[in-house]
Amino acid sequence: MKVKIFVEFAGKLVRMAKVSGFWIFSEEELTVKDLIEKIEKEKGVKIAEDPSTVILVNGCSIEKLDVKLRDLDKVVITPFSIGG
Amino acid sequence: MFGYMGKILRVNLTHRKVAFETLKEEVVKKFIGGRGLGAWILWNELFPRLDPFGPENKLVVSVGPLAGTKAQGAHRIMVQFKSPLTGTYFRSLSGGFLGAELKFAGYDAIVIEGRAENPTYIYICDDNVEFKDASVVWGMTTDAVTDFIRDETDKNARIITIGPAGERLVRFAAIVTDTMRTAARGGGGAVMGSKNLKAIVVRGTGKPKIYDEEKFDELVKEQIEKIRKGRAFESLHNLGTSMATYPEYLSGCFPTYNYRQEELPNIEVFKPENLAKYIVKHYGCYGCMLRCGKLFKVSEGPYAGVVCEMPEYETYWALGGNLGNTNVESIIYANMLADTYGLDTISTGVAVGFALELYEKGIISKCETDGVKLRWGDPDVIPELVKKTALRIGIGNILAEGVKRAAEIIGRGAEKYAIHVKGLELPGHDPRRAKSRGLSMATSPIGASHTIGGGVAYEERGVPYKGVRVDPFAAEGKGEMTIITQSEHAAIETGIMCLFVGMDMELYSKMLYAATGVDEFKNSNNILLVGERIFNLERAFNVREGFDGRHDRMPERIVKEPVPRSAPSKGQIFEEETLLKDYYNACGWDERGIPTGKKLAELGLEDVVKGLVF
Repeated sequence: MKVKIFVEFAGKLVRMAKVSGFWIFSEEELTVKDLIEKIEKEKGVKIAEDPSTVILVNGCSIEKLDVKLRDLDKVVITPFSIGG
Repeated sequence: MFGYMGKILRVNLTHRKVAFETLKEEVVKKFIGGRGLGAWILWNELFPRLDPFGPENKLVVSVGPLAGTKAQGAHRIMVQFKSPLTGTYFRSLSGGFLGAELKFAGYDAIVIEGRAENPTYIYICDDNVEFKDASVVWGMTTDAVTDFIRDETDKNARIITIGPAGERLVRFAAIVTDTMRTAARGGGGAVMGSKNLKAIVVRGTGKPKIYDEEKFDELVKEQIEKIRKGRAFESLHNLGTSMATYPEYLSGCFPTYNYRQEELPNIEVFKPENLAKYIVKHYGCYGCMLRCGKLFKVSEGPYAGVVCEMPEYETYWALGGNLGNTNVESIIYANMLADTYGLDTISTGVAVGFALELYEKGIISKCETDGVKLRWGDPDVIPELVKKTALRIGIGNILAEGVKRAAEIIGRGAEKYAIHVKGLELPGHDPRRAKSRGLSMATSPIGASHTIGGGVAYEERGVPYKGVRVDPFAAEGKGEMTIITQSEHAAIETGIMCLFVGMDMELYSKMLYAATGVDEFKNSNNILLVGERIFNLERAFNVREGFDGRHDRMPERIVKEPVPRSAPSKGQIFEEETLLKDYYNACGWDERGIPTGKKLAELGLEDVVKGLVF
């Protein structure tokens, strides 16, 4: 099943990858882990090993990377932050 | 005493007298310090139903037992009083440098009572306490008065002060510390204003003695390592709480348009890389490696030349998204005005949002707004309303009363748009997005505060609770988690620890024991019990003032209007009845939300039972 995922960087990843938002296309179903591997390869950034990074899928924080993505999901990769 | 200075300074402004009192060992064992000490003093010394603006109200400024030591994030001050905004017990906190200095001057707390005949400031230098004439500095903004008083006393003195808003008794006027940090919420600044007290100036030359210096140093090293490895270290260090603005919007926590939660166009302006460009300097509080404070500069456009402290997350929300304002430079400017006039940005922003919605709905018109057209997102009108509120000009004179009273004054159905609990305006965290956080805001002893507890880690950061992942939208089973986190907060605030350093109960217990040598602090369960004791004492204070479960209520909008925007919380409401019933049960309170005599006795508060009529 083809999927199209919109990925957005916030914070230091924008500086490192020199891109803010982009689409990732896949001919087959993707998990968050698959997506991260694809992004790391295509954009030359480290995400999985960085504990200060948070992954939001459609606004929900993801703790486990085996979550399956759906077509047109929005994935935001942002620094872990605290508001207050 | 180790850790503590063992002394409380009592200042009577009416009689211009000071007294030095010994900090009692039994009080330390039961309440540790900071929030516990202040709550105990207010319970014992404030008679019920007194006027918060009367001379009989008291202001307790306290520090924790680790302040002035090598510990990280332990040097904040707490200000406690009966609030003119809520009519409840209140506690407000501030970072900065004054906490450590107060300890160096030899005090664990200052109790301010009475009312000065003329504008006054207090200059404390160790045991020497002077009442100084503040008539020249009365009317000055917080930055101007700080500079002026330092010239007049000691250039290295640490200062808390109020601005024109506090002098005018704006009910959410703030207390500003060294122009950099603020005990903002609840109207402590107005209480100082009502006492004709412009500032407290502190200089000290002593330092606390540590019970087991070697062990304490080892624990501080452990604390530093934990902070450095913490997930939030990098983002707080780089951009402070600004970093949270964009992700909080995406996750649905960040409310918009006076909590209507409609989509906010142009939200990308709040992305961290856009906010970081305003930084010209990083700074931190005393004894804190996070250095989450940032100095911002605006170089271009209509707000060019503004240099001020960075708006915090809550301020981007309150003076930004909550008002439909995505002009970051307007928010920076409005934030500067709030800081220099001495206002709480959260309550100010909610009051302005209330006015914007009333105008939109036709409940108020131009004739009540001094001819100004009020529109969502107007970058020029919003700072103007901040100034009018601080100075009580025109519509600002009504907004300065807080949204609860403002709605009563205006009438015509305005109450429906007043977003508060117990009179305290809600912060930038939608209760419909995380039900334990919302439940904590509803039941908090000070009104809708986001820093009093709630299962934030479990609901919003994915930490399992008792081994199980928590659904943030579920209403069932949130009572126990909420009272436990509220008790933990109260326990950690006995040391007035900054929440950002992420202190856990085990380490806190060890550090307390190494610093003080008090046997009761060895056991972290005992520390947690102290937290629950404090939380119940604060509740009892409010019960004595006439508050109960009827006041633990969210605004109609939160309870009845489902979130419309396409965030994860779309369609959610706040299931008040289910949440409160479960919570009171978990607390050991009766169905009216009143702590039972049995519960208070279990917590060692037998004397408090006698002060309540059941």
